[in-house]
Amino acid sequence: MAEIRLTKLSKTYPNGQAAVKDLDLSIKDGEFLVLVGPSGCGKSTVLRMIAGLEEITGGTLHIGDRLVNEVEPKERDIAMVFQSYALYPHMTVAENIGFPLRLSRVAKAEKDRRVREAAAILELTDYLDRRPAQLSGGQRQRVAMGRAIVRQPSVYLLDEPLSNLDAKLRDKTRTEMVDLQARLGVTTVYVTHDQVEAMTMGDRVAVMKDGVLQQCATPRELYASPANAFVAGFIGTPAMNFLPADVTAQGLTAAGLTVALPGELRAVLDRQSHSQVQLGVRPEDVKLGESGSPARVIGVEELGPEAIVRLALPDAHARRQLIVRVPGDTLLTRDETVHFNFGPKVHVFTEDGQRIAATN
Amino acid sequence: MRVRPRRITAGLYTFAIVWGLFILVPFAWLASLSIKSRLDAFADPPKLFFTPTFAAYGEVFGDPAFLRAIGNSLIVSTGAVALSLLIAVPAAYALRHIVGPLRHHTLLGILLIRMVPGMVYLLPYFVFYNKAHLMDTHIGLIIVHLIFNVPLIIWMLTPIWAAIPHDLSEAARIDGATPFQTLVMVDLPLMKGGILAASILAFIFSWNEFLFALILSRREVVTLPVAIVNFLAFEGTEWGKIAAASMFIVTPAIVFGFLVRRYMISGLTGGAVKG
Repeated sequence: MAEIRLTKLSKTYPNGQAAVKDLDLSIKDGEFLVLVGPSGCGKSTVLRMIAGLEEITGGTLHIGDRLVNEVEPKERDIAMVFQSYALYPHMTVAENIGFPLRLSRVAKAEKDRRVREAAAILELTDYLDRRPAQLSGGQRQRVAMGRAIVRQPSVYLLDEPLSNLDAKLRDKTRTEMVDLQARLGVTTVYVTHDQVEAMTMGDRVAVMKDGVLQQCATPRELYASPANAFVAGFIGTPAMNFLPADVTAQGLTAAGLTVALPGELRAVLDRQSHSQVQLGVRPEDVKLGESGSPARVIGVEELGPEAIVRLALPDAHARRQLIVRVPGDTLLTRDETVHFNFGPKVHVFTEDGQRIAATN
Repeated sequence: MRVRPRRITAGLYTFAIVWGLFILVPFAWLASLSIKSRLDAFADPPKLFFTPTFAAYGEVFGDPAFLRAIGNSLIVSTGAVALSLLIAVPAAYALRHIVGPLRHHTLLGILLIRMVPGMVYLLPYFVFYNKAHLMDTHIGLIIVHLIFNVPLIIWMLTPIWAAIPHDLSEAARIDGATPFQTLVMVDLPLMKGGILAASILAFIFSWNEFLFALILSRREVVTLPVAIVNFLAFEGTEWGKIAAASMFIVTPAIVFGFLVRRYMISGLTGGAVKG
């Protein structure tokens, strides 16, 4: 069991390109931490630095109490699952799972016992004599997991382990992995570009962009108080609506609507003397009704229990759309004109995307 | 898929047939010569129908010098392949891990070694072998065969190696394997088809090699191609024996040719990554 501590961790390639910049992150013992961000944000590089596959060019990395910057992967007491699974094609499932034990010269009887145990946990017992090519995608993924858990490491590193599975299997495997991690209680770092995966799996989620950590918080906190417009837009499907807003005496004016500001937010805005801000409104915080600003419905996406409605705002030159979440039994149709209001909760960001505050 | 115009297909077939005739007719002629009696062999016009005789084969395989030549060829070819693999496999492994222009230049340099005609190496080796007492020895010929076998194997293995996903060696590293263990337990088993194919080709090149064998051997280490030439003797050319011996010398090429074809298909990495 181990805590992982990243202090000012950096990765700069010889050509000067910085993949990760001064990352400070502390992962608690037994925690399931998800690193999420768009491709190229440096999340995989962070994972590979923790694994020891990528050289650390700045800062320190501790696993447990040990400084492991210069420690070989096998000495770090970690196991990793690759996106491609990286199963050895010439070995059977049993040999694949048992490979780390074979290398560490575990006695055969002990090795067989542990391989069978891991296989039982992952429901692979019937496939132990098969080769990877004879397995389905989901089974391969489980073999890769088996190879990781058989070593009983103190850290699991998972690099997009579900991205090669089809949607249905992905959902199923996702819950299985969360259950497994909770049962084994092993510190886990999980990399994904999928924010739904991040939100549903992580105890905490670290959002990265351009090699910089944007925010690390629980899923609920990320959703409720995003640190900046990037996090706000990245977390949540459909994404948050952003509208330029003027700070006026009455409050914030955007899209023909005025949002009243609570006293403390008013004070912050006045103190920082913003005249223009970005208003962030989640799709569920746009209310359709009899009053408010008019807008035209340009699309309705039925999802069953709910529907996503796209509205065209009247200020034609902005060509802005507003995404609204409504109950699934909506009767709205294309080209209908509706009226909308914001609230109760809206987020306010500076023009360059830093969080100022949120109402409510 | 685009449909190939019929005219092009016809052209390709014509080419293949003409090309095939160029190769097969001499071969068939040689094969028939090897089973003709001396009289039939020189009949003019050539006889299409004759009573086959295996007398020439009997003579060839009854000749102790020829049997010794078979032994020499086996020793030299096998030895050359083994020693080449010992050098070329680690070299290809190293080349896989070099990135950037150095890898490209190294591969090109290795290819150049192979492209230089053997004659260029011949004189220096001749002088050196005389001084180093390597003349007319098995090891002497084996060493000189490295010149063409090592580059061949490196060039054949490099792309096969590159096709093995890099994740596998990283996974092995995480699992606790040393680079050597990764090579032996992960890479080599996946490459055995490629290594076999490269070995067979190298074996055939060594088996057929004539120039070095002729100059760098005297009496002891006469290999098959040289032995055949020795049938062009003072007392007259023994065409039947030459034909029979030639038929024998091509057998490895034909037998292994089919094996190479089967193993060249590198379907060995299936299931390693998402498939």
